[in-house]
Amino acid sequence: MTDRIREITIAIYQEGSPEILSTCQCGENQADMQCDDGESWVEVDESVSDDTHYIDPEQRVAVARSVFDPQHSVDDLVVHFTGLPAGAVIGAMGQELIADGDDEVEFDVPGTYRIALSHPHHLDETLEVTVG
Amino acid sequence: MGKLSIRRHADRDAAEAHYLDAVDRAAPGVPPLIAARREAKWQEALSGGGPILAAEADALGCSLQSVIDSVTAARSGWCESESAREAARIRAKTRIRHADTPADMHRAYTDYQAALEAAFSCEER
Repeated sequence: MTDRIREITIAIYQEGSPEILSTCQCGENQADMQCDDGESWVEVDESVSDDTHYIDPEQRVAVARSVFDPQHSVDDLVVHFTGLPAGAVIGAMGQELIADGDDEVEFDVPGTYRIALSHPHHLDETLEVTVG
Repeated sequence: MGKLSIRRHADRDAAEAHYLDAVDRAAPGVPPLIAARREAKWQEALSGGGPILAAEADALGCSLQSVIDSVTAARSGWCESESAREAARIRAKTRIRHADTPADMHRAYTDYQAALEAAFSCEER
């Protein structure tokens, strides 16, 4: 009698990176075949996705991304962020800044703008700010 | 500190060109047919009457003089509001040309838009 191969859900990630590249279901003995060079996988439950989780590469587990808690203030044409985690990406009008925890976005024209925040450990968030 | 500068305009001259054009495009225009009809009625009013005003008087059941007075009053009102609008347009363009930053140009433009909205608009006769 042969053992039945267990069907599992896996998250594939680039080794050393917390970002989940994709998730899929496969037989337990086929998981390695889903990965390209430099990629690895961990078993996850079906609720895991790249939108909601990241990989802790040391523990080799999927961790739920937490909500951003951005603190920002507006002074004329400048939006000032404090407390963003280092490495967060601040994006506006097609340009990006890697945050260091004390960050400014300056606009040349008054208006209402969308500022996107992203970080592997946090859920993506978009703020709408009015400046000027 | 990390700093990201978002520039909607490449430089001051590009911003100036943009806002000068925006001001001109925002200026309200009278459709050509209405402008032509308005002018024809005004010319008839100046000469004491004509077929258009006579037809209007007949349609309204009032005297020709009443229609002439009405056209004259409408013309006067239109001239006043048009003068105000043109003055606002020239002021806005002057502010934009003298502005140091795109932000100041933007404010001149939005002030102009507000002035247009507030301006009295003449009723068509």
